[in-house]
Amino acid sequence: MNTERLYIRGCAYRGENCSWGERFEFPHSAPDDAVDTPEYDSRRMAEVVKYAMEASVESLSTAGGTAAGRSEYGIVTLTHNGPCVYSEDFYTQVLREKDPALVSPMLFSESVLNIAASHLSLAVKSCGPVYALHTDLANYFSVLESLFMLTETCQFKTCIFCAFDEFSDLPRRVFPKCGDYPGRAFVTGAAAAVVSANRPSAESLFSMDRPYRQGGPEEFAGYVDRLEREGPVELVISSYGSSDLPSGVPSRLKKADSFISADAAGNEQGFMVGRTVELLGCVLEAEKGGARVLVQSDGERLSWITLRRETL
Amino acid sequence: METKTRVGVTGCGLVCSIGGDSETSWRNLLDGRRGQREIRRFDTSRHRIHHACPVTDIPEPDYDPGHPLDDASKLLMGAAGEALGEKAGEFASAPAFVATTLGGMDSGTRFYRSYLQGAGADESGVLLKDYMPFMQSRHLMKKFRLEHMPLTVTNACSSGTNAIGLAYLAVKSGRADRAIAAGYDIVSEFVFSGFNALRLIAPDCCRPFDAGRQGLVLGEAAGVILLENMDSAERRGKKATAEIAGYASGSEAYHVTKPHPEGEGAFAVMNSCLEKAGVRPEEVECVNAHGTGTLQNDVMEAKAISKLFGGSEGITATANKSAVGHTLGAAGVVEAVFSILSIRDGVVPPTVNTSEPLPELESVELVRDEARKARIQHVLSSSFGFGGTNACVLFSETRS
Repeated sequence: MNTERLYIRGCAYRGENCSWGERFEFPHSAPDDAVDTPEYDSRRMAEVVKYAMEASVESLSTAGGTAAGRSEYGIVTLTHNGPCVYSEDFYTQVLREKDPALVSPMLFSESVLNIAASHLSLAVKSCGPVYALHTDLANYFSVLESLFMLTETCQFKTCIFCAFDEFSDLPRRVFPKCGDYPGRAFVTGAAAAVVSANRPSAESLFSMDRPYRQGGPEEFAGYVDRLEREGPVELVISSYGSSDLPSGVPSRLKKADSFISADAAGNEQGFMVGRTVELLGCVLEAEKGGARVLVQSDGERLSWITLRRETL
Repeated sequence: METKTRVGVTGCGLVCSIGGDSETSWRNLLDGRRGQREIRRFDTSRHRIHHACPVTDIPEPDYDPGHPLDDASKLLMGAAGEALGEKAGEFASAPAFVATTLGGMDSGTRFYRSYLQGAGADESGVLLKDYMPFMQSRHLMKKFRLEHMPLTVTNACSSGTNAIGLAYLAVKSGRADRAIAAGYDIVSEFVFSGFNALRLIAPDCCRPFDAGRQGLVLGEAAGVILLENMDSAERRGKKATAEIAGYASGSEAYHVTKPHPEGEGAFAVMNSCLEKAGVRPEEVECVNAHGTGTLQNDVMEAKAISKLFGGSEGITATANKSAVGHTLGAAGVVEAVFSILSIRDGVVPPTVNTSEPLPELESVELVRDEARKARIQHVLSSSFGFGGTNACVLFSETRS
């Protein structure tokens, strides 16, 4: 049976130098069960991995659950740049040392793209599947699609989903010269949530429908019309691609709000963290009983996902 | 989810240190060839080790992205070209899962070196274009006109097997009729330095499961396999070379870098894979082991294999990394291709360099030195990654 809706609990954000923490209040709902807070040693971790752990642990704490139950949780992490500060530090030392074998291996092992997932599975003592994923900003929804596929194929029923990215001075200086990255700002942080096929019993339910990937403006308009027959619908354009809409897009979409506070030049922030904060923000700020449709554009086609807030 | 959908392998492609395509690589593997040679990609004079299993003839695909293409992309496209060939149009709408650990890090390290040396902005920009791991997927999408951007899996050494698993699940669940699984990695100075700093690289060669083993040897490769719903493929007159009977993935939750010394996590995922496939251990003829040659992996894997297959007879094992090196993100797909060809040709490739197998491997016979002819119905292919991320796939003879 295809999974068409996943439930989101325990949204959390940890980071620095950005206004998302001020904009959103991720609710701390009363946990359903006694909470075993995962413990871990963060001394060797890169800064961004610490944020990933903090956000994930907070997410678990507010979502509730016991250690025994979490042993079957899956873990899905997503990053665009990974712990790039550690990578840069490691390679800088390699280039400087007469004998590169003397460089601390910790910087290397703590910079691999699946390191946050490894630390998290260790802290949570989860033996479920772990997927460390990566894609470009235009295909964020494909990662969400994978969550649906993994739950409906019984890889797991519940997973911790954590996106993290960090500020590194090097790409900030160099990327504008590449043409493809015009002056983007960068933020260090992580956003996490517990995503489950199991419908929680909490008073408020936050959920996301299976994303629709890559349709034209007419298809999108038809989808919104069908959705509006069920209740109020708000449209939100992701700050990624908001200036790149295909022709024929309904004017109503263009007037939609944006959650990401861009810098003064209107550039987006945060890579995969930014996309995830948008997603969680849409969920949290959806009108009770209503739906928010988060839309992303690659300039030719639209992708969208419907987020709901229900009350029991 | 239990569905009756059968998932078959209908194409494969491979570029590695012992061959520029799957058939050449396979023949050389059976002949006991080794891909180990001196590294030419970067200056190793400051390093203690100077060897790896690099690809000597990097393919030159017919594709122009508007800037010089990086070698990682070239490898991936070479393997994809062999697999897809004239079938590319049939797979245009197929979901694709591409495994790598470091993407275009070779470009990244060259960029960073030139940046520190004060090179001009243009050069830095060109080198930086392809260093992000998703860039190789993007080139794959554009070259073969895939409708959807492949999703990149970065689960360290188990990336390839997990990419195959995700492609398998996409077809098995009925979400797609076809899917693509790929894996690639290049030996960059960054990753070479990292494994050297961890003291994991063997000063001599890779000796999987050997009592005198001293570590792994890094390798370069790209592999691609095509998966299809077998029933719909057969209706179109296409025959699968092998079938994927099961897939399992799990985490050890033991240590961030070291595997469980008794192989508990490895055993759990191998056992789970067989259970999901409905195949008993004694029905498996061959284990394509992770077999890195490191002190810790091989002894724990040997224990896990013996625990799973203890009491069974006639089970063989092979470790391809002895010939092609540890190709990191590509490893799972490289070993998948060899597992599939084992079934097709009824032969177990030899593990080279190993002279004294570990006593912990007692329950299976490690095929060494010469290939072994055998009827092979099932091959269990395992990958155990950094951070305790483990995955297994069971390849089987196709059933009518």
